Amino acid sequence: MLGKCLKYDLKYVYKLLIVFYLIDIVFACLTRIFFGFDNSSILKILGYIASSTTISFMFSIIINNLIRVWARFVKNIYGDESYLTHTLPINKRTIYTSKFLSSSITMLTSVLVILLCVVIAYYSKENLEVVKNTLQFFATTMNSTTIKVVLTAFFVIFLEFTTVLQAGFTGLLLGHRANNYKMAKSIFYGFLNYIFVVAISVLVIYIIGLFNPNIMALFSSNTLTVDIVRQALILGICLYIVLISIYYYINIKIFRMGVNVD
Amino acid sequence: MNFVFDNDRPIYIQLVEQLEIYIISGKIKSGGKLPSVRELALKTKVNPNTMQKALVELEDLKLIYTERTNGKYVTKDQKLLDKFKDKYAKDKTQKYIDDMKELGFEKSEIVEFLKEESI
Amino acid sequence: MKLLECKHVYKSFDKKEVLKDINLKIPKGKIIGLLGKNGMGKTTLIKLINDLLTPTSGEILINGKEIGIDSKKIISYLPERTYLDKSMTIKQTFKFFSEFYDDFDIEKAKRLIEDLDLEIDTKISKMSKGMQEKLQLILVMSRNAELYILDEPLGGVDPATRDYILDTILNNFNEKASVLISTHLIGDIERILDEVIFIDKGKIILSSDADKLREKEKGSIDEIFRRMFKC
Repeated sequence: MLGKCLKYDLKYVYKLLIVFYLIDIVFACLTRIFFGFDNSSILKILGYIASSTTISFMFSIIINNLIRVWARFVKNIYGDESYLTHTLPINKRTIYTSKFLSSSITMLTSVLVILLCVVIAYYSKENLEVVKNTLQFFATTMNSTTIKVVLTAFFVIFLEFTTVLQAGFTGLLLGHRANNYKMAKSIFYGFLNYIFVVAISVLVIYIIGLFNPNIMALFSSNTLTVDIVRQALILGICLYIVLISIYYYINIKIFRMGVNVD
Repeated sequence: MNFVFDNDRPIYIQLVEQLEIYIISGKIKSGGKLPSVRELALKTKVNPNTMQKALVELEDLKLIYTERTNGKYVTKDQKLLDKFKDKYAKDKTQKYIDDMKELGFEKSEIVEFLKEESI
Repeated sequence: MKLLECKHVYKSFDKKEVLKDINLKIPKGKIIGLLGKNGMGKTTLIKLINDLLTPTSGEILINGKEIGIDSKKIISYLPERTYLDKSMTIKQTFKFFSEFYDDFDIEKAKRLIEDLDLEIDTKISKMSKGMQEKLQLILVMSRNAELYILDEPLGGVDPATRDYILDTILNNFNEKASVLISTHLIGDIERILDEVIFIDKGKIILSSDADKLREKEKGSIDEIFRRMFKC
């Protein structure tokens, strides 16, 4: 049953996203093509246009991913379609897990497409040098670590937006328990719980910092060493995973308490 | 089987009446087999439970009988069928006479009307 | 063990009590009318039975068990609104229903669609509202469920469609299943009902065999209802 739900959820989100993916990839290709011609200034201008379009579409992909996933959630669980969703012979757990997985899977592919576009449009030895130089603390270490850092950064972006998606779900679940102003309350609760989670996370990091000087250095020191960054990344990723798990657990609990469909 | 029903009276009673007429007018021959309850219900567009109730009544009136494995049949008792037919005829005739009298006609005038009308 | 049983069911929205102490039992093999004026609690009760709302207090049991996967497997629900994804074609809705419901009879659904002269590849968004409603009726009736719940199936339909709907309900009848029809259009539907339940201001006012009620009160169910609830 989970597979079937997932199929329909993914279909709905990808129907829109695929368009954005394709457009971004096309413009990424155009960026590389136009910038490939060193001599012509017209082509360089076209290159800049293609480049900025590529980047703006990267933002579009993320934003549309968020909105489309949340829209699916509302439509499927509280809209007219909910009269079908809630009467299907499936567990509430299955319904929610499908939403959770489809949101994570689509966010993963979105981040990968963005990464792909970055590579298509901008990957070159010179650019890699530039990145290495700005990440000064890696100046002394090997080439491959720069790529690792970039990949890890994208992974963190994926985790961050997956967390945002879950926070949105919580907002929607809480907001729709009310009888009036469902959307307004949903947005309010969404923001509220996200900010709360950020605050708690900072607090947790600080507390860990009391025991771990490297982490504490994030708050006090101006310079970053490899060790600090590495530990921070590990802590951050663990924190994200814990948060996403807590969100999943709490959201399912709220969902199973029952829905209030108009 | 185009039965018409009035929501004012119990449906099953109206079903009994209309099925009686259907049977005694010979639309199903004496001893003939009735369609199944479900078929009858579909043909007359009624709830099969209501049809079942009506058939039970008809069976109490001995107009139909059930042969356990084969289904329901119209009674072979021609005398009973004739008795029902007579009763209906008498009731209808009496009603006709009462209606005509209400219009102000005398018995002899009523007889004249009947003679004139090609039956 | 009754097919559907409601025990002391209450439902409030904020401070407003919409259903008060609902007690009812529905056996197998009957067509039952849930009759009442609009806004008196019929749809709320139906939504509770279908897990679209949770009761404020009280129990709803299907075949003796609480509402859950098992009850949803055997309930076929036709709501008042269009609940299908309008971007789907008729064929895709059939596929959807067969995937999620083991008791969906796809051949029957195809036959019923043919009878209506509809193309199976038509998109729902391209169908008229009347046709969409008929499609939903077909989907609901093509399931071999134990309890069919129809919420205002005759609302706003022309007489020919009304006859089609009543015929479909009767054709679908079997002794192992029951049909619960909720409506305020009593006159149109009373002929096929075994039992009637009157609901007013969130309470059940009366529950009776239809013919017995006609005999007792000497009138049609519609008239009896009007007499009871003179505005």
